[in-house]
Amino acid sequence: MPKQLMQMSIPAPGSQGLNSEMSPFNSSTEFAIRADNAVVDRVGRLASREAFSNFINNMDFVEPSYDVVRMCRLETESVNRTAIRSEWGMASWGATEWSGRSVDEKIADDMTFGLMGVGYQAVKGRAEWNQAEWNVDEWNGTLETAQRPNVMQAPEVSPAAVVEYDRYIGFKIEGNQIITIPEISPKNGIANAQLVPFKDSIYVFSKGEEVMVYDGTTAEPLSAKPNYLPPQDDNEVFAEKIDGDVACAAYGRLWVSGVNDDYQTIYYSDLLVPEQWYDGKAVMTDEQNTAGIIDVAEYWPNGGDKIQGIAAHNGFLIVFGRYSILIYSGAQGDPAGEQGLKLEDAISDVGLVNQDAMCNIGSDHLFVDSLGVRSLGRVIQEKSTPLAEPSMNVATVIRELIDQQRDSVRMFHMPSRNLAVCLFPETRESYVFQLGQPSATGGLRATRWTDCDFYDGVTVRTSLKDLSLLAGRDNRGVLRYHGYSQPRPYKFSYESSVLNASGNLMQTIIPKSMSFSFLSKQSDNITAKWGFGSDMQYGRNVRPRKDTTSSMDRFYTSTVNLNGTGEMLRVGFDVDVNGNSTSMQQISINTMTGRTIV
Amino acid sequence: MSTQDWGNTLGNLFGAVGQIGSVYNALNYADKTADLGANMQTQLNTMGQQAADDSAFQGYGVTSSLGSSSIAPDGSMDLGVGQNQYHQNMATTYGDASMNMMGQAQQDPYAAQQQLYDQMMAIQNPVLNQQQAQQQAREYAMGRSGIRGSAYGGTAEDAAMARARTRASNEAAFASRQQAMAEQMQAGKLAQAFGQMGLDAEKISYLPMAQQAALLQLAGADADRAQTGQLTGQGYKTQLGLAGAEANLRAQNIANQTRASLYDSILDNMGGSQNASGGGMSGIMGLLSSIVG
Repeated sequence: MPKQLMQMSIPAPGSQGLNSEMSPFNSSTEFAIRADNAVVDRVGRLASREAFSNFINNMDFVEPSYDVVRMCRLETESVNRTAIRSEWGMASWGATEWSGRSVDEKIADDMTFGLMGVGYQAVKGRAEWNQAEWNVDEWNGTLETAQRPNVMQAPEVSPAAVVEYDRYIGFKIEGNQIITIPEISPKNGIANAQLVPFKDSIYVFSKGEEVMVYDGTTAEPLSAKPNYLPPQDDNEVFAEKIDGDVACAAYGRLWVSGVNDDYQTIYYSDLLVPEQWYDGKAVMTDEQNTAGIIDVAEYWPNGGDKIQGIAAHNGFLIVFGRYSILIYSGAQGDPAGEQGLKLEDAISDVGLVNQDAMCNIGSDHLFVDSLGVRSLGRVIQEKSTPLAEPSMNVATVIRELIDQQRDSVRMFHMPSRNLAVCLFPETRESYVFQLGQPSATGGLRATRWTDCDFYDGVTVRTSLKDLSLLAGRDNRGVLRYHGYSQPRPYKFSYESSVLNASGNLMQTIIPKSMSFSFLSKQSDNITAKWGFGSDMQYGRNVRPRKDTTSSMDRFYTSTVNLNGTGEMLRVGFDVDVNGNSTSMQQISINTMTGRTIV
Repeated sequence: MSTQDWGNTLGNLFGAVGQIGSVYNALNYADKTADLGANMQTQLNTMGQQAADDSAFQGYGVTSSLGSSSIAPDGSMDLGVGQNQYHQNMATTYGDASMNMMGQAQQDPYAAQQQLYDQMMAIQNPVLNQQQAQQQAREYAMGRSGIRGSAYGGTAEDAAMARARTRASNEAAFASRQQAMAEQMQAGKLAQAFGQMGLDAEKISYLPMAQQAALLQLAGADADRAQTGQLTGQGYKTQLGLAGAEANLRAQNIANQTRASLYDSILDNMGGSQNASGGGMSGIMGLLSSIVG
């Protein structure tokens, strides 16, 4: 006699984001085992992320291969740029639709500055790609030519190409073009470098090289400034040139470590005078100079460490080591004054993996430790090693990635999307944390992005809206986190944890059908997936609406018949994102319980 | 020859013998007078020498409880008493003290100042070091020991500590300068006082000699009086001797003249006198001539 049909609903599937830490048998369906290329939308649904769309790749010179490796913005200077229609959110629009702006009206941008690595894409043999045998399909349609039977070259290795840089070049975005600044050509760019906007200029720090200053028109070494004063006293000049690479602009000063390859010392500039550094002479050049030096060597709680990063947050100056963190208060005034710097806390066993692996999100400062993404606000509040961490829901997987890519992992903030991105450039994937309300576990809601063809991200304010720009790789120039169209479509994927319909794990389940309620303009790009245990072996396209696409997002519920039987049912879907967003509202599954396993 | 001739002849003979005897006596008496004169000169020389000897300065002396002083005949003086030893020793002591103080007063002021400064800082340094150690401990506890600001060289607390040390040092330097100056001035005053006291003691040490000299001076008047008496006696003595010699000379001269006159008369009486025509003789010769005649 057939058993009664049971219906299970997963409202807002994956709305709590990924969770790799919970038991797959006793978990909430709001957590997901997989949430690729997803975000949590404004009403708490799992939705497809926006695309890493092409934005500006028109350059003033031709390079064989380049990656944009760093970007920053300078807010004080705006430039005009012609906005393309898609930027305005419409494929077609009239002049009056946008508050009187005409089609050709330009928008004002903050000045965007960056560094690009220029060189040639690596020519690698199959073995290097860990592909003794590989076929065309594996490499995104590229072909192995007869001329290069064992070698993959630039066009062929696009999905995972690595450019071997022979130099780095500074650039800025002007209009709709990338304008290179040849005077800025540091030896370091992808690592051991930093772009620091301060006052009206960008300061380009590179390990072992003098900091370069770009004010929007002129690039020159800091020492070329007429009022440059290197750190010195009556006995010696500590450093003729500021050549550190760990830097921060905060509280009206530049803070730099790594000068003379010394990562125990921080040199800080005079207040609002970044050309003037420590002047310990009996007769000072400028008596109002309040620059100075901080030697932190005595304060590492573990006895010794190395400065990995400097940050400012909530009135504190944060000095990150590899294994420890020093938190100073009183950096706002004269750091050496009586009310100046004071070591508020020295935290051991928490550190920063590299200087690019942190970002300030306004209310907090996130950084990547070897155990995951940590929250500094919590650290300051608790004044102890944080017990909770934003990445706690994906701790296991992210730790492994951090361990593998500790020197290259990066973090950046996308304020207009309320996201913090922890990027692993070597595998082109990111773990993205939804800021705001944390998940039920206390960790931030996390999703995973794949196909991350970028190295960095920056939010630029324009007269229209904020632009989330990405430092594109593979000759793509500057990308924009915008829309849902990428050169290569990407998959928005979800997999649930184990669904226990009967409450008895030792009972087979016979899934009969599954319906998806989603919001999208498109309905023909969803593939239902299901399986038992860890193997999602079944898949079937969801029936689209009759009108496959609509001009605006619409709710639609579509059902797909399921087959198979087994224990530990898991369900999911893949959405091929190729121009439209998709938000999953609910998944309902009709099942029947089978035999009890004895 | 006639008796008359004879008589004349005898008378002439006798007259000639008498004249020869008278000349002889006169010469004899002249010699005696000459001898007398020479003898008187000798005696007068002797008396003059005696007077000179007797009137020569014999020197004099005076004896007091301080000592015996004398002035030798040759004019040399033996005061017979020296400086007072006690006061001389005092003078030496004061002199040494004065020199010592003067040495101190003349000492290099910077060296004295440095000495005083070192002493003051040696007193202050332990406290300052303690305060600095406490400040550095506080600074370390606040995580500020590695901070160096341009305005301070280190931290503001370091600068404050350095200022405190500098202030203490400045105060010590200033105080040491004042103290050194005061001490030098004091040493100068003491040197002056000791010098004066030494001088006074030195003066006092000469007081016995002065007093003895005064006594000697007083005794000099007595000596003058004695000398005057002596000289007066010598004057009388020489005057009397000279008068005696003159009286003797005159007496001898009178006697000699008397004798000469007597002889002359006798001789005149024995040989008569022959007149200018050579005729008649008188006296013995005349008598004899008259007898024989």
